[in-house]
Amino acid sequence: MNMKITEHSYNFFVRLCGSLLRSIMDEATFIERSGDLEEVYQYQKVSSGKLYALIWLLSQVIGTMLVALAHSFYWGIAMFKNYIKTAFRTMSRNSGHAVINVMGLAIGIAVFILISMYVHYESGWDQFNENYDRIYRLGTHEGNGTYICAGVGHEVATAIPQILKSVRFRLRTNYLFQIQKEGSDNRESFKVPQMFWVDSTLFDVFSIEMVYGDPQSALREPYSVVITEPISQRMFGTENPLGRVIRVNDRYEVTVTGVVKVPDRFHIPFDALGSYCTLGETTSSRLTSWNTPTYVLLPENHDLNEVEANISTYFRDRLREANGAEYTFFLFPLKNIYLRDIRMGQFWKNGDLQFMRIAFIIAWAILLLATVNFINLTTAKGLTRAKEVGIRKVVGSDRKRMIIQFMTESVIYSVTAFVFALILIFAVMERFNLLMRVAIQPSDLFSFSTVVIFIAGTSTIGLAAGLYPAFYLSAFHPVSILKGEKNRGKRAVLLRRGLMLLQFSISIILIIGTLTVYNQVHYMKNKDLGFNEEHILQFRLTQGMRASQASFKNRLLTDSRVKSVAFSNAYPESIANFESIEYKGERTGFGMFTVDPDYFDVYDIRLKEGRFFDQTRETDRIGKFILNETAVKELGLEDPVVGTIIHNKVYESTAFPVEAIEIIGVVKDFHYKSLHYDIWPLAFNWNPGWEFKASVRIDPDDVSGAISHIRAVWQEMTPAIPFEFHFMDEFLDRKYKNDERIGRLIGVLAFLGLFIAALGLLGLSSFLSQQRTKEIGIRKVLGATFGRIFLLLTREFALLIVLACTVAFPSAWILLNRWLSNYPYRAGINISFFVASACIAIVAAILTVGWQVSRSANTDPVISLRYE
Amino acid sequence: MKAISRNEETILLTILKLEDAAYGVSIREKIEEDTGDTWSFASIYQPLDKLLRKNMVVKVKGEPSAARGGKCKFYYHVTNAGKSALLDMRRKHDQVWSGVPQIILE
Repeated sequence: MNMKITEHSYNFFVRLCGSLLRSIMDEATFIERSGDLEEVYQYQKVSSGKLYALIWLLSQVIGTMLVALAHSFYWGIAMFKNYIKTAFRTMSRNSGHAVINVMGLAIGIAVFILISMYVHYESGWDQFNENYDRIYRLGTHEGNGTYICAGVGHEVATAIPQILKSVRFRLRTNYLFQIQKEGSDNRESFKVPQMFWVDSTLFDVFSIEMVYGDPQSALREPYSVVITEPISQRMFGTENPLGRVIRVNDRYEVTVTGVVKVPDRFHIPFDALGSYCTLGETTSSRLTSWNTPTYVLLPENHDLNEVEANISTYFRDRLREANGAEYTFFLFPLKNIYLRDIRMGQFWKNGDLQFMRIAFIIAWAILLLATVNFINLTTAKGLTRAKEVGIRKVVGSDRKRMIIQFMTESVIYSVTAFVFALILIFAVMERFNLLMRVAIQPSDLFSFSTVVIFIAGTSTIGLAAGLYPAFYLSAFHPVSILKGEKNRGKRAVLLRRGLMLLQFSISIILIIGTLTVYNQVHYMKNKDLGFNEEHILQFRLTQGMRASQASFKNRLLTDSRVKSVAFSNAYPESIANFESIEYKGERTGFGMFTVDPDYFDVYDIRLKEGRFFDQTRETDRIGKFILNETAVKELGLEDPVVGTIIHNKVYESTAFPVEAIEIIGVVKDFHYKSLHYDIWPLAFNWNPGWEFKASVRIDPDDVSGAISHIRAVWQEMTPAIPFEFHFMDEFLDRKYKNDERIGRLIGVLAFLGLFIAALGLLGLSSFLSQQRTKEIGIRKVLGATFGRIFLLLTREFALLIVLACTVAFPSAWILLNRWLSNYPYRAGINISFFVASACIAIVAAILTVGWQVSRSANTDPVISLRYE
Repeated sequence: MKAISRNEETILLTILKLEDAAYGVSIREKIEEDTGDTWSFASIYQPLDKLLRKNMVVKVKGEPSAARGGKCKFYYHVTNAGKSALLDMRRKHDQVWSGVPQIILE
């Protein structure tokens, strides 16, 4: 026995046992049981020693407590059966109230869950990759930052030890795939919107799943192509396409070496992948032409700065020699691309981080609204159960039990609401997916973690919402209740008003938000872009047509419905090439367009100074640039700008540079991309050989006629390939679709928020007017008109709304300003929206309250006063 | 006839054996003496409470004593209901045991 344990601690434990026992049982039982224990304890102290006796005592007490616990559990469950029965009975008695309450909460929960799932979906892009946190995109600080030259990508994996693998992507859009039909001379044509030439190391870096074919060898040989499952199904149906031959752009043939599944949420959308080696050794090792995005894989532990420095050092000299400039490289992590990387000329998809945040906040706001509603309605209704409370107390319930009873009811309500929320979610999921352009599955709802969250969340809402009513209601004094005294409860009223204030503020903010977003979208869609984007067809020439471009243009122009035709290397909305010039000690980047002189006419780009390219002047083809206003500003050129000569080695989109360029004209700035983006500095030069994108302006009065003429000319020149084109304004429209979506979503949320608030109002006002039935009856008897009674009862709410406005307006202002700062060109915040939203709220309130009030105001006073 | 569990039966029989001196501690000691098993207090009190509720046992207050820290003892007595429950159990027990071949139990 350890004698070091002091007398003091022994006494402590004995007393502890005593208090433990006392806590379980009443006085009488305690006396008996503790006496028995003490008797034996004393005996054992003497016979077996202090320590043994103490341990024995503790074990006995613990045993007793466990039994008591089991008992109370058993009885607790018995009581719950009664509570549940009561809860359902109450619900069916007050079915109207129950429906409103549950509906409001169900909507709130459904909205919250859907938006949370959306946020979760958008946060998981690119995570299908095993090497997710080790993949980086290579870029340079100079120029665009995402396009680097092919030669760097070619060597970087072998030259730099810390880079394990690299893969280059060369984007080619709208390729034509043709396959030979069985037993006929005809070929079936398919358009492939996004095709990339990629290195064979693709599958080492990105975890793309292959359905047919071997990932190790699929892209090793030149003229191999790997297609996605959807494309394979379109072209070959259900058969295995391995080994089939495809004719590309009517120029050469490739063999299908694999079929891949479309990866789940990959930021690079692709339809086909060709082997990079097809492009040849020269292209592959070129150190000019900055047009090849490259991704690299790094090992587990790496020092980013070190690797970047290594790359820059390794290539510095050769790049300087080839381009006449210095380049610093940086590595951009994969995990930041989808949500945080939006740049000029990007080829990847983006999610909207800003929007995600807003949506998430709004989701919380609506959930809050719904819960607040729930609390309000439950409390209000509870006041009518005062009699039940009184009777229960008289019959023997204590406060603790009443609290448990009301909490149980509240949890049952919230569980019911949750079930309805689930039903709502399933019903709406399809449309939600379309609206938000995500792909949420019902199965996502049932993963282990989400189920846990649901259970926890529902219980929390039920418990939290039930807390206040439970405490408030169980505090009623049975005697005063049964006597019929009405407990006015000042604090209750204050709380109720406060909660309604919150609801209305949130709704008002949402309405203002919706109006502003719609306004912004409208503004952007209708703002003058600075050039004419309407009635312009854009299409790609085939390789075969390049030789006969001039005659193609002439043939097109024979028809008066074709106004003008131009060829270029890119359409205005997608810059393909980037260059940089060093002038006065600073290096400026800009986008380069290689065009023909008619380009400016087709797009109606306005000249500010100087002149356009002259068809007759051959010298205009070499080293002559036209800049836009922003370019002039960025470069810091001084007047007179026209005629300035800059001595730089510049690549005019070919492999052969010029030593100096002369500025022959300046055009006014125009929004070549949507209004989401600032205008970049642009340069135009005229250089045949790389122009294979056609832009045609047609007569707006006879669109179909013009199209058929163009198609006829095309068929004559290229009979084998179908004529495909798109309109430029369609393309721009798509940009605004996203904002429209946002506006629509916020609109829906605003409506729901207001709806929930209105539901709350409905419930409350119906209850309140019921409470005052007698008062209303008396007033009617004394001669009050319906109008006066109406005003009397709605006064309370009207004041609330005014107060809500004072809270909501400044908050809305702050929030909207922050959101609008995203857009370089904005419509501004309109005061009339604030006024409008307040009016909407007031009207909604008047309608709901008014309806309720009119019901009770119209009752015959005889009936209402009879109840005594 | 209300059924009683094995433990309840044991306790009732022990109380009868102890005649006027059956209380928590003595019941526990007697059971240990008879069966060799040590029961915790909890497993004494739980059946006792059940028996009290079934009115098969009554509780009588006794004298305070120093060994119990000045608290009273409570003595238990079996009621008629308890006695008839015991007899019932005994009869059923004998009937069920009769006819079991001796050889199996060796």
